[in-house]
Amino acid sequence: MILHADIDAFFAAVEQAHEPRLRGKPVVVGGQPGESSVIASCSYEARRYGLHAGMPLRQARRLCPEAVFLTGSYPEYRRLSDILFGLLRDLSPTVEVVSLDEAYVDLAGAEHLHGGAFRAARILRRRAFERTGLNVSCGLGPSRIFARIATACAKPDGIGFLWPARARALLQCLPLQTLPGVGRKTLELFERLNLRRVGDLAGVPQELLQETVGARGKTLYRLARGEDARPLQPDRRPRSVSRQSALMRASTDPALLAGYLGYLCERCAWGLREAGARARRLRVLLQYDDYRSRAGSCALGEPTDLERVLYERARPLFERLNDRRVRIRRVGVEAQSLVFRWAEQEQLWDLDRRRRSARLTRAVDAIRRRYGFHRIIQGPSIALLGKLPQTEHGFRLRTASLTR
Amino acid sequence: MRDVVECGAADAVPAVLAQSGCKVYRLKRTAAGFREGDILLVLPGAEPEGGEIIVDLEGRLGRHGGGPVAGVVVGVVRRGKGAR
Repeated sequence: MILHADIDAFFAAVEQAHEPRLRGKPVVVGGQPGESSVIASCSYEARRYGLHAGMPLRQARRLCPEAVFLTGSYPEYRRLSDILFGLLRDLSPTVEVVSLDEAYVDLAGAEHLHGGAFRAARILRRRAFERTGLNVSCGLGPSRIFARIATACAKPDGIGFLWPARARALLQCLPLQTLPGVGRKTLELFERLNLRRVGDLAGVPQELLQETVGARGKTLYRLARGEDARPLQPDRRPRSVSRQSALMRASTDPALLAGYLGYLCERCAWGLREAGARARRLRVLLQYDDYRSRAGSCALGEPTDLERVLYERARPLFERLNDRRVRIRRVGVEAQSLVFRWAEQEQLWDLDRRRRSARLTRAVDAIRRRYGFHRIIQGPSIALLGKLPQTEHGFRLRTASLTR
Repeated sequence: MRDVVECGAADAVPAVLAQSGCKVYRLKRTAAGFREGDILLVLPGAEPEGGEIIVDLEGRLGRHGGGPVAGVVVGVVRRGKGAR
């Protein structure tokens, strides 16, 4: 039996748990309503007004003027998330973390320890509430997809259980967007083919499905038939590490933009080192004030986890991409093609400089871990001093909860 | 006395399930292994196996063989403190 755990309205629930006056009120996390940002999370009270994640904050203010708007605090969300994942690992060693507020647990072989799968879910919910004050919704099913459907039924603040022998019959009746990987475009494509329910898709031959949607057809064919035997991956490694942020106010100031780019490279490199990874490619993206976007990528040569190298490559790429005289509202970097094992290539030149650079990075990381990220500000990030508020976790970016 | 009372799908389950044609019942009292307040997800027209919990056309909870079959319980949802 697979257990799927998901924290209800995570960011908003954390704010409500910490601040009693917010309980029972519509709470929106993502920024202030004057900003051109979107909702990262909102409480169930806010959802009654039609608010949802991804909605522009200005629209949210129009729909629900009495909502409390908050910027959010990623480090606190991370702390509580780690507590939850620790509780999940107490249930079973096979835990696959999906995101900050979502994970799967394989209870096979561990059910009898807890008196059954349903009781294991109850234990988890009770402990999570006692330790964090948050409600965790759980779903139990014979595989990932069914556990996830059960959670969707159980939200908020509940446990959903689907009988293994009958869950497949339920799946056949559900709309196609229930399947992972079926987004808006795929749904439109299926609707043109008069496929509306999972049961309709299950009747399509695999070859035809592969011709229609490409390589994903094979996976969709299996999922539509309720065949989801993918084992959980306890040590799932990230495929990329990205950091992006909206600017406080859209700008064309080269120093400020370089400051953002440098700081995001710094955070990205920090994320790579935390994950024990190095990147072979770097992607840079920017969004103009008229919401048109540009993105480009380049190879990094030797795999790296150093901010200096990321920035040296990101800067010229950013300048090449930025070919319009329009203010920029969002900047981002993404480290791609990650490697988790590498051999240090012996270099004839520059060996001493590389070693010193690695030693310096280790020393800076150690200081930051002990005294706070904000104690050291490097290179181009200095341009952000006095322009962005600082906390012990570094500069507070516009969408702090999302940009880490 | 009715063991099961039908409740609107929209207030108990997400829209995605409401679109499935799945019926949703809330138990009025503890019965047959379920607790009062449990929400039963019932698939209309599904063939129940012998001895399974079923919901009949009058909305009564019973066992297979005890009357016309409206559906079969495919899942159960328990919410709030009772699920901790």
